[in-house]
Amino acid sequence: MTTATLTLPRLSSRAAAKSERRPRRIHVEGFIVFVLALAFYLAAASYIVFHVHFMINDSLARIDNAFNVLFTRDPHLAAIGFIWPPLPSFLELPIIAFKPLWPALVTQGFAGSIEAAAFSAGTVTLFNSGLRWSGVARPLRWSLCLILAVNPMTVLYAVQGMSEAMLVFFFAASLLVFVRWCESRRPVLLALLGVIAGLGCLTRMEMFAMSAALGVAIIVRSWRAKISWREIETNTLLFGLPAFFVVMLWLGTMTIIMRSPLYFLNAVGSNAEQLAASAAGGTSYTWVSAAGFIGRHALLLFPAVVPVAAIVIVRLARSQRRLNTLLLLALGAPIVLFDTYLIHKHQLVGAMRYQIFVIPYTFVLVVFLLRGLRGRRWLISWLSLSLVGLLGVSDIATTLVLSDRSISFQEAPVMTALANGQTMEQVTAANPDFYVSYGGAAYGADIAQQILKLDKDHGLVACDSLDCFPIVLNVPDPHMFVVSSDRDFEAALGQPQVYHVEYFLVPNPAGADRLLTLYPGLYESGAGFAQLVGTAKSHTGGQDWRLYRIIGPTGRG
Amino acid sequence: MAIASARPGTPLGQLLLQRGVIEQAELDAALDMQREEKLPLGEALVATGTRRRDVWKALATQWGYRLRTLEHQWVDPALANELDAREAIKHRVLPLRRAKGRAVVAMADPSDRRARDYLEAFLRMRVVPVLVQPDALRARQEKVYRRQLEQVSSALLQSKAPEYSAHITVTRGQKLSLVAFGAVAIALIVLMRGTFAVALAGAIITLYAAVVIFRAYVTIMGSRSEELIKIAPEEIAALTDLPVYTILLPLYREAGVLPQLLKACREIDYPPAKLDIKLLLEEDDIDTRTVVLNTELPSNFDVLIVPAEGPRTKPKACNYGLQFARGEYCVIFDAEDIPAPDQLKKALVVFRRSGKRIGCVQAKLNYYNPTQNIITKWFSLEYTAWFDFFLPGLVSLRLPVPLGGSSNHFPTRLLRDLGAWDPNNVTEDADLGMRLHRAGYQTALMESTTLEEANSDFVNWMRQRSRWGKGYFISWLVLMRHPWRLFRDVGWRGTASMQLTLGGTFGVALLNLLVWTLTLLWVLAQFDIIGYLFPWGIYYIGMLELLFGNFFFMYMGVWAASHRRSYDLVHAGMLTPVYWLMASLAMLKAGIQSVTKPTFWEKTVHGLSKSAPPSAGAVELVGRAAPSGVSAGS
Repeated sequence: MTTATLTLPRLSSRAAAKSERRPRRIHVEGFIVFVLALAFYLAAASYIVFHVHFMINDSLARIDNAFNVLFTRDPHLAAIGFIWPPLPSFLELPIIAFKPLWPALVTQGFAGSIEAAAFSAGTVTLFNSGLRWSGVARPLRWSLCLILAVNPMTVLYAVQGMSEAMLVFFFAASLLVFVRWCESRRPVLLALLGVIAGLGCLTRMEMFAMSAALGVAIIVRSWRAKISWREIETNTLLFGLPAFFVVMLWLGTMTIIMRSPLYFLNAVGSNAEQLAASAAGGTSYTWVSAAGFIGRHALLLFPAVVPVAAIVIVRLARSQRRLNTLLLLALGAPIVLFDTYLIHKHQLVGAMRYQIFVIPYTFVLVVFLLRGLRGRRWLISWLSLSLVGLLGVSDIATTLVLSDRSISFQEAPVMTALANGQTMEQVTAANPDFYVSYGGAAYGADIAQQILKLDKDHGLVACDSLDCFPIVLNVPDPHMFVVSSDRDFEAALGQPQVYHVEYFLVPNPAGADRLLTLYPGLYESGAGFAQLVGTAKSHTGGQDWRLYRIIGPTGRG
Repeated sequence: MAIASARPGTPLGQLLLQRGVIEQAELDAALDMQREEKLPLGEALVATGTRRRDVWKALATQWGYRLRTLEHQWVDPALANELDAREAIKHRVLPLRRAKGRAVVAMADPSDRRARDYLEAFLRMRVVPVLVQPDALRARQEKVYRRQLEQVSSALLQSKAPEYSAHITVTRGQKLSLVAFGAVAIALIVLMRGTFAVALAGAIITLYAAVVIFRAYVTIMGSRSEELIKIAPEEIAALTDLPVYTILLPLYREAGVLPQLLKACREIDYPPAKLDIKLLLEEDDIDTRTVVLNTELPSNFDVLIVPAEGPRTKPKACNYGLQFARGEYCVIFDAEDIPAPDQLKKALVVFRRSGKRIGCVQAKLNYYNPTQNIITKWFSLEYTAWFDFFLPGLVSLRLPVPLGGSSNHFPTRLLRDLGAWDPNNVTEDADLGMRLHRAGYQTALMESTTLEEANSDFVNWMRQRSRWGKGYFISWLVLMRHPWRLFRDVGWRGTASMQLTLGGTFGVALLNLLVWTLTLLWVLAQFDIIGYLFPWGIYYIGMLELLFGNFFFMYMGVWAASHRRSYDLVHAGMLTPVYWLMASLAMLKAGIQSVTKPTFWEKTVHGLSKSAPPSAGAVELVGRAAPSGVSAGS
């Protein structure tokens, strides 16, 4: 082997060290804002989840989707489920991986709280950055950010794992990036916008409408800039390809795994299916009444949107950026229209949380408005100060609206609990007519304890995750359950003995439970092949459960 | 006659005026240039169009010498070769013979005291100077020192730092390691059977993930970074004391592009008298030599004939030319290149602004015939992504930069000290970038473009691409001779980057064929063996890489088109997966050639473009980068 003769010159170490010095890349202020907001939301989440016991059951269901991927007896990625857009559950995966260290991440659904808190803190950081871009002085922009951060609606959905926090983040990010693109027309912003829109679509259905509207807005803006049609096409592709790719990835995955690209629309347990089941007794909305319902709720939730939009419209008449202004105003409409359609079609319940978008939209208008005044420092400061007052008053309005159970039936109970320093159990005990879509954690733990006592030999139990997920999340060994996401679930229901399933666990009332659909009468009598082991009832309310031991052939398979 | 009446010491200008060689206006112009460029008047006169022979005749008179020709002079090769060829070239001298205890030495400037002192000290005898024309002297030096020059251009790096040279493709240690790895692999196959195959599949997916994530990360960082050094026109205007700048122009079977090359060189915004342009022709390339011989070249062109011995590669030709380089800085351009006119000045600004830490200033490369056909479209997009995003990303992350094959500017002295290019490496540019980094120097990227001709022919493209692949692989093998030493030199970041940039690029492109085939078979036939090899963890990661990786790089094509405002290329950008298949086939060929013909230089044919190349002045306008931070208004 040749002997090394390393005689090449080297740069002196001092010069090399000098060359290694690099400019700082981290935006310190943004980082501080994010950390402060995150700390605030996590503290609020700890209080609301662990002390008040408020956690909407759908948050737990999302945790369950992620849980199925990692901890059930058949862990696989497709177990994430495709009833809802999958991103919230996907992002919960790395958090719930720490369940062995801290079970409350799953049992109390705190993993969802962490995710939502991070996205909400991200939204606050985005606005801080937007306000800095608009030239707002630091005390004023921090005041405006504080108003956004402590808005009760923002806080409620920043502390538990519904998809609202993520929707708000992607909605706000898409608008802020769009505004910046309108000004600079940098292609990188279109790419970013495309990614945001795509991820938004994986978070909430509303973002499909928003993404389509953004696409149209980009085409219109490009067209008006008098550029070649090739450039318009390129701009559209830069935006559209990431969004299209992400959505196609989702639809393609559903096609492969669920055999239907639109599985999320018509699956058992989907919003549409659940609402169809309850449609008979629900309110019917015409197009106009649906739009009126959404408009009224949005205005009640954050009334500042009206004066802020009015100022923007007044500025529009004198602005050099008329098209940008018009487009931004128009981009407030897609989610309204989409929700109007869904409510009209009985595919969306008329809950206040669906109007949460009005809060970030108002703040985007604020950023845009102030940006339009750049260079006029005194005017910006004066207007910012006025907006602090206006938006602060709106926060108070939000508090009042959320406390009104005739308007905010999902949020009013927790607002009552927070106002009185009570737990959710105390509030619902005092107000039996409150809407109950929470408490799954306590209920699941309660039922799970009883089932474990009934299943003395630790035999394999089959149940439909649609209803039994709070129970599965609360047992020490989830491998004792055969759940809907298991690839042999259907086969195990048909031939339980072949798959070593000893028990069927069924609820009452039944809803769309798969076991009861297959075996009508199972809950009442065992359907001729099963023997009742026992019944579990929770003191927190909710469904009753019966555990049946399988003693004979089911007659299927 | 005026010549006879002139006495030694008469000013040169006056002599030439007396002889009617120049007019007063020409003299004035030359004097202006002399003042501005701080040049000897003789060189200024040559640069402004006076025949070199006339100038040297006048200088002979002025110095009191007789101008001699070298054609009929006998040269004692033993005496001449006592001198190092590079020193002889540097001092513009050639020892001819001994006479009465003195050395008769041909000199281009007998008044050059330093040269005479050097000669007398080295030869240990008095020197009798013989005045000859510098071009004639240089031509004779080339012949007399042929062996030395050839030796240095073929083996400088090999002798200076053999561990960095690719004269041996695989060292003994590497062969032993390979055998050891093979033995361990066989043992594992025997012991673990299927598990080993699964582990291997996992390793492939991991390598894939590493390369894809690295490329994507660096590309994103590059697209966001401000690392492209921008030079304001005022900075260029403020430049003073311009040094001599050497341009190396290797040509091989490229007679057809000579007019374009001359035009591009003429349009370079640099004082012609300070340009030292070396046209490097191969000895056996009779066609090009004939065309060059029959072409009237500007006075700052120097035609060098590279001996047809040793490695027949472009780096060898460049090394040859480097020995004649007079410039403080040098740059290499390909024959068909059209650099932005102010590129040399911009590079100079960067060198002066950045100090010694900068070892190379690389200009961006792009193509002037991007829309010729689908291959040129893909190639252009790839180059844009590489030079506009990936390389700036590497620079911004302070990672080693594989240089482009052209438009890289060096301080000549540093280049020589580093051993110049490795003539045994067919991607000598990338290899040199790695050596620069190992030596602690940085590469800067500047906002200046050189346009080249994109390969429009599939076979020609395959040749070029397989050569690049082979070079990357061999460069990686060179680096991996002593991984620990590499790690000590450049740290873990540099080591990882070199692995992923050189080995990773080659390896992944090669593995693409295997992975795509397996994916296709899985989709079509769902063979159990494939399912076995890719259990769910590996499968999901692999699938994500396949989908996200392919999408990302396809999207980069569209982005690249937008960045360069080459909107006609957008559709091609969306079809780039076909291009990757071509690249994978080229890598397969490169892999085979790495074993069979590791140093064989597959020549890329130029001159296939159907469109007329743009003028140098228009280079910066072709595919100009998109504006940033500029309000477009509504």
